[in-house]
Amino acid sequence: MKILIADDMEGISGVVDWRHVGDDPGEYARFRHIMTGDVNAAVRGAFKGGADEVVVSDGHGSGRNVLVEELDRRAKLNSGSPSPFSMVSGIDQNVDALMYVGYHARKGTLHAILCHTWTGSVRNVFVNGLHVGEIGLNGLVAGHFNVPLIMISSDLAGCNEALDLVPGLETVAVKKATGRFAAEVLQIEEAQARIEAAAEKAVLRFKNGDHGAPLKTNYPVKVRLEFDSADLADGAAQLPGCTRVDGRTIEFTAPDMPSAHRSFRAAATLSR
Amino acid sequence: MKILISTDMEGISGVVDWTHVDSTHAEYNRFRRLMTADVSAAVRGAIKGGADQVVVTDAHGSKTNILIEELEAPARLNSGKSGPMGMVQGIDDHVDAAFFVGYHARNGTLNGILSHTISGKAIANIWVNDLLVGEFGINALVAGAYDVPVLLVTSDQAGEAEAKDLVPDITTVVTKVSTSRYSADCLPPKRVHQMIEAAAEAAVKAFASGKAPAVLKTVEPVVVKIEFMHSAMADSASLLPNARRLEGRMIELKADTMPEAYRNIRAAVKMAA
Repeated sequence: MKILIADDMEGISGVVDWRHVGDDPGEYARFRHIMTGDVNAAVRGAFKGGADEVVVSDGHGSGRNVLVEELDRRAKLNSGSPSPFSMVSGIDQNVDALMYVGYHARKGTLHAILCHTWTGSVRNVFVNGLHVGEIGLNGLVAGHFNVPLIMISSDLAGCNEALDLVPGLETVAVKKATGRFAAEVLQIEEAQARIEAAAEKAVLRFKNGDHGAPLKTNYPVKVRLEFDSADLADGAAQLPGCTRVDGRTIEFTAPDMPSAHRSFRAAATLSR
Repeated sequence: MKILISTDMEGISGVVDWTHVDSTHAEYNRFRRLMTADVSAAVRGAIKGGADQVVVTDAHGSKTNILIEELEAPARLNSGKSGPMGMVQGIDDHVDAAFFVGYHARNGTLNGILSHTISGKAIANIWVNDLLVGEFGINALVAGAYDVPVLLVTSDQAGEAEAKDLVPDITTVVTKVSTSRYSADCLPPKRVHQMIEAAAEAAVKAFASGKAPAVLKTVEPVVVKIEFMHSAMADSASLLPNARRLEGRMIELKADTMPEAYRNIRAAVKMAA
């Protein structure tokens, strides 16, 4: 059994501020070590649960955060950017199940640490009318390859966002936000013990067929992308084949979810 | 008669270095004044030649270079970035003919001041339907999609040669003779202004009497090939939904029309940057 662990940084244990995830070099160095610890906890749990192979896909920023020298020796690491499937790089390589570590809620969520959707400029994303953040977007790409999401670690808001999409999902809320930049956080060892236990349980449940269905959407995929201001949509409107809906919004159609994901990433880049 | 003047900066009188055309550098303020003066000379010539409307499109960088307070009346100014038509913003609005002022040769040209194609960092070469083009060719093809001929180009001798290859009967003003990418024998700006005014007047008069250079056209749909400086740039640009990866540094884009092809080219450059 092969597990892909897609990591991000905002939902890592202890993180509450942009300085922790890149803006301040010293703070970032602390939290990439903790991030590697959270990921290792999930790797240990996955193997305990019965996984034969674990691949970690580093999904934060340019995908160069996890300290490979501290990574559990049994795991492989997809690192660097851009890669074909970005935050779920490797999802097309015969993966059986997907776990999220350190994920965060979509932009605008109440009481969610560093909530955003891909870049700071994206306000809302709808995939065939479904309001999604990165949890949904990447989950739908995994669904294209029939890979179910079986576990998430995040703050409470991120866990709830995932549960809306995959009821019964194994979740670990490593913090409970009281604002976008404030949270009650679990102590790191405690958080990582819970991640390990949840990962083990998720794999055991998966083996028994006790897991949610892969996330799917209808094809072709219609994506509606709303930005914070009109200049951002002016830039994104350069996406070939897209339609300008209004000042802040573009829409495009893609044949399948991986194509939609690529076009979404292109539009986000063009908006800047 | 309505004339659109698309103006870039590298081919302006006296410009030989990136510091001259970079808004974060002190030298830039001198050269945006000279740019406004080169353009104003073209405006005067167009009016003398019989144009009743002149629109200037600021086409360099963030497109806020021209000093509007010094721009020759009665020209209007298209200013600011992200216009749908890019360097020829306004070309779709009932324009009869175009001038390209301050243009430069495409990337890689021998002895062409600041030679590059859209992005000096990202682009090695661009082909439109297998025609190797620089900004002159791309923008002239977009103008051509609206049946607008380019009557006049001002540039160094390399930009002149590139324009004449595509539009043999175009009127030209050579503002400097380049001896490398960063050195040139520059004519005095006052002399250049006289030359531009006279050339613009003559070009518009010839156009009015039916002796315009040919409109530059290409076959539609359009196949664009872009060669980037290195492969990571092509990795990023490959995210565009109509992109096809040809090899490490190259992608191909198919577009229904030339204006759409131009938008695609700009999108690819932005993805790569």
